[in-house]
Formats: sequence, C-alpha cells, structure tokens
Amino acid sequence: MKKTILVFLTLLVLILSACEQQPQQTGGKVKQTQAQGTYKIGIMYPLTGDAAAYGVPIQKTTKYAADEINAKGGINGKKIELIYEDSKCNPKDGNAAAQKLINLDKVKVIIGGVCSGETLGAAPVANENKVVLISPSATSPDITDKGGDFVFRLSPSDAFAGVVASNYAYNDLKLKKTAIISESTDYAQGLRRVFKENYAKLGGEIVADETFNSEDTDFRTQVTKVKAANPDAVYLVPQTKAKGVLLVKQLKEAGVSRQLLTAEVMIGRDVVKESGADVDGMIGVEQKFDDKSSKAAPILAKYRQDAKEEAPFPAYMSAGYDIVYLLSDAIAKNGYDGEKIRDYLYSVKDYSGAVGKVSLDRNGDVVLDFSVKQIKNGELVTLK
Amino acid sequence: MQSILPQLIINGLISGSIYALAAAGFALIYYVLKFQYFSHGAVMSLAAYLFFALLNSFGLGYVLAGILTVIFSILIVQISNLIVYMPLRKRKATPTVTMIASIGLLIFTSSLILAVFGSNTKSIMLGSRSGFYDLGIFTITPIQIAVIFFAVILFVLLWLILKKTKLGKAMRALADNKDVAQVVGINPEKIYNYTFVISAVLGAFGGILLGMEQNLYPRMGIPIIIKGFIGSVIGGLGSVPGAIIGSLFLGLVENIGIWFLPSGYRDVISFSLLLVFLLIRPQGILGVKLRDS
Repeated sequence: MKKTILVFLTLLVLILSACEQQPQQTGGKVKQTQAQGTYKIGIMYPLTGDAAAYGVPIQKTTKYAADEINAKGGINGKKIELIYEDSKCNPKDGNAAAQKLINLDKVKVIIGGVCSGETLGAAPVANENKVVLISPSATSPDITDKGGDFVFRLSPSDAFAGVVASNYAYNDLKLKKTAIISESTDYAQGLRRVFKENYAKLGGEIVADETFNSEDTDFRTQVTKVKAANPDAVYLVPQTKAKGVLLVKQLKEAGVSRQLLTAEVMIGRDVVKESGADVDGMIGVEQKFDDKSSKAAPILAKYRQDAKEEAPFPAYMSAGYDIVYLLSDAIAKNGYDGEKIRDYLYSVKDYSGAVGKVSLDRNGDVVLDFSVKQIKNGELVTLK
Repeated sequence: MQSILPQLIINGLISGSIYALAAAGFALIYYVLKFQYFSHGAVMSLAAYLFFALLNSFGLGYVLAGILTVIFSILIVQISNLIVYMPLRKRKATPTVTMIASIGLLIFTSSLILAVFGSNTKSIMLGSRSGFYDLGIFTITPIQIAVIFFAVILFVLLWLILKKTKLGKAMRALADNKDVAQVVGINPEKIYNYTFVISAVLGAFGGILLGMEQNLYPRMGIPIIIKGFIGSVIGGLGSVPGAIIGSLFLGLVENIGIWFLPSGYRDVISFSLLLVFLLIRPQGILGVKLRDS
C-alpha cells in the first residue's frame, strides 16, 4: 500500500512539473496585450553578473524614457509597460530571454541585448516570430548581416571601431608590432578580427594573439606569451570591466609596460575613476558622443542624481533612452505590430536623438563616428 | 622558449601550489574517511569570501582577518561534519552516497554565496602588497611568493603531524584498518573531527590565497576542487604526498602546455592528463593501490 502511494505521488509530481514547462496550457499566466491596455515592450539586458555594469545603468535610462512618455499620457493614451528579462550577456540566456518575452509575455518588440553575444543568440527567435529586436549597444560586426531583418541597433558596428584603433596605433602612434588579448565572446572576437585584418593591411605585425574564456581569472600564461613576443602595444578586448581590470593588473605584475590599446569597455567612466594607476595611459576607441548636447545632458544629470555616480557608458545609455522614443513614434504612427514597427525603423532618417543624429540603414545599423580617447590621471582626454 | 621557461615553471609552481592546497585537504579526507570530499571546494570559496568581507566591510588587517577566517572555516567544517557526514556514517552510507552529498554541499554553498554576495566578480584590494619583483629570468608578485611560502609551510606541518604526532599515527591507523584501530582504543569520531579540522586549515589558506591571487566569484569552489581532484588522482588517490606532487605536476604541465597550445586549451590539457593517467597508470605517480573500502 505504501509503495503504491509512493508511486502515485511520484507520478503526480512528474505530471505537475511537466505542466509547469508549458505555461500556455495553464492559460491564466499568459497576459493579453491589448486587453490590459498597455503597450508591452520587452527588455533583455544583463541584470546580474559582471555585465550588469552596463545592463543596469542602461536599464535606468531606458526606463526614464518610458516614464516620461507615460507621464504625458503614453502612446495615443495607452501606457508603455516595460517587461525585463536578465539575458546575462551570453547567447544561451539571450535566446531564453527572447523566447520568454515573445512566447509568454507576447511582446512585439524587444529592446536588447546589451552584449553582442546575447543579441546574436536572440536574433533567430526574433526573426522567426516577426518581433523587432533593437539594441542600444551591441557592436559586433556580425550583427550587420547575421542579425536578420528584424534586428536593429543604435550603436555603430565595431567593423569601424577596430579600423579606427588599428589606424591610430599604426599611423598616429607608429606602433608596428601589436599583441592582442581578447575574450572569447562574439563582441570581443569581432573587434579582434577587424583589428587584426586592418592592422596587417597597414603593414603592422600581430606578434601574439591570445584569447581567454569568460570564466577564467588566471591570465598569466597569456600574459607571459605576450611579454615574450615583445610587442610595441597590447590591444585588450575584454567583455566586461571586471575581467579587463584583472587583465591589466596581471599585465602590470608581469612587467609589461607597453602602450595599452582597447575598445570602449576599459574607458567606461567607472573604470577611469576606479582603476587608478593601472589603466593610466590606456588609449581606447568609443563612439563619438556629445554628452553636453541638449538632449543627452538632462538624462545623464538625472542618472548622476539617481545613482550617485557618473554615467559609465553615456552613449549606450542615451541610445536606450532614444530607442524607447523611436519605438513609441513607430507604434503611434503604424500600430503595435512587429512588421509595422520594423518598417518604421527602416525609414528612420536623421532622427535627432540623445545619442546624436541617427539614420538606420538597410541592415538596421547606424553610422556614427568614433573618437580616440586616452586615460590621463583619472580623466578621459580626447585625442582624435 | 628558452628564455620563458623559468617564468612558465614559476607560473606552474604557483598554480600547482594552489591546486595542491585543494588536493591535500581532499586527499586527507579520502585517506582517513574514505570518500571523495568535494565540499572542500565549498570551504575554500567560503574562506575567500569571508576574508574579503572581513577586509572590506570590517576593515580588519590581513593577519586578523586571516586568523578569523581560519577559525570560521574550522567551525564551518565541523558543522558540515555534524549535519551531513556524521549522520551518513551512522547509517553506513556508501562512499558514493557520501560523495554525492559532498557535491550537493558544494553546489549549495555556491548558491549561498551568490545569494549573500551577489554575482559580481570581486577582487581583494592589495594596496601596498601589489607590484612585482623582476628577477630577470622571471617576474613574481608578493602574493605569488606568499602562495608558495604558505603552501610549503603547511605541507611541512602536515607531514610532521602525520608522521611525528600521536594524532597522525591514529589517523594513519584508521586509514589503514578502521576495525583494528578501534580495537586498540582509537576513537574514530574524535580522530575524524581532527582530520576535518586540519583539512579546514588547508582549505582556509587555499581559499584566501586563491582569492588574493585571482578573483572571487560565487562558483569559484567548483573549478578549484576539480583541479584538486585531478591532482590527487594523478599523484595517487589516497595518498596525501601524492596529491601534492600530482597537483604540482598538473600545474607545471598546464602552464608549459599552454605555451604550445592556444591558451583556451588549459582545461583540455588537465583533463587529457587525467585521462592518460587513468588509462595508463591509474595508481598515480606514487603508485598507490586503489582500494575499495
């Protein structure tokens, strides 16, 4: 009798847990979009982990825009509802986040990912379901062609950033031999490829090309190999500042005193302030951005007040803000439909956003300039 | 390659020493208590985080924080013995079941750390202890010197305890034959307790040094105990000196191997080495006979 009860209970537990996996069948959990009177916009940003260093600030500024629009009555009288998912800066969780937002919350548009990896991971799901995916900060060159019809971004492709960096290193700084240390993520590998290709075209020599995994904390062997190759400069491409700071520390501890070059992560305003002597002299490339513009300045000031710190990535944070406004225009004009929002976005030309003047090209990309900046005594100085 | 070899060897010894601190604790428990003690990784990660918290939130000095961390680790280990391992022993649980319980503890601990400290990677700020020494043929940092220094001291002390003290003799007796040891009047539970305490000290130092040398993140206990396990198997499962030698060997092979292979292959090298030993010399470097208890 005891055994039968046990078997029965086990079966019951199995059936119940199987039910949990398919929430569409339980009905009550699925929200109906129009019935509740809001426009649902999905947000997939990394909200935990090292990449939350971008995800959380961008989340704040994205919300500012939604709050502002809602305060004025929303879109044609209907309010915006932001639904957040944590995409953790990797393709697998990006895919899962998109699936959840599309299948469970039934959104027609998602803002995200922040990282290129999670964006590329979510892209197939978005395209298949005709849901727009628009990122404020994903920069991998792969997104241009592999993103798909429904994927857009308000951040320029690293196809340019890598070229600017290698041009500056070779032409301006006359550094002929560079070693590369990059993280094995879509974003970092994109930059590495572009830098390597362009630098070689200019006539430079890549003397070492090391990678590390996102879970690694011990880079001493990569550092040893780089040191042995005796480069003029080291091009560092970490995905997050946590890894970047550790990498720089281990480079310094090994006695590598060459010029450090990087993309935009290591010249985020928080890194500049917190990392002191280790990062002094590092030269990075980030998208050109006027943080004193009439649109951007109030957003950054509000963040400074809320978070009690300088906005670490002002360009991306402004992009998050702009995207909400762009989407709200799209929905107001064309209605809340994935294909219609997509069509609207392709038609965006010379939109004056907080991030600058943007036009979305036929690949869903924006074309924005880059500037070269250097960390000097805890300040970021523009070189070019 | 010639000019870099000394640096690679030093890197190997440093990694190997940290692996050895994990492996020694693991092997000691296996030697005396006859099960795979994976929760040693949990002890190490807790020690690292506690040390970090004592330094940062309480502003204590390194020495005081270190002492408190060791004391706390001993307490933690005794609690885990009381709550998990002793009840299992009472029920005559098999080594496999105990191993699974220890893995459960390991996973539980990493989730606990995640819940309490958050998922962001943390660093122990070294302040005046940062910098490095350039000795020409290689460079080394103060922390790395500390790793090797403490590892050597702890292993010497461990050897002294095992070989020269009454406690050590009792541990070896229990490891050799539990029933006969009991007949001669050795109280197993008391000795097991001391064994756990010693492993806790090894784990505390290992965790603190690992945290200072690298970074802290919630799941950090898992990779380190895997490396400790591999080192222990390579050196000879069931032998504490074997675990230390095997781990140093693992560290050296990894770091020299990475010279020839892309850096991402570090774990491929460790596991390949493990496979090679399991296939060709399962008794490990020191040739310890694997016993089914």
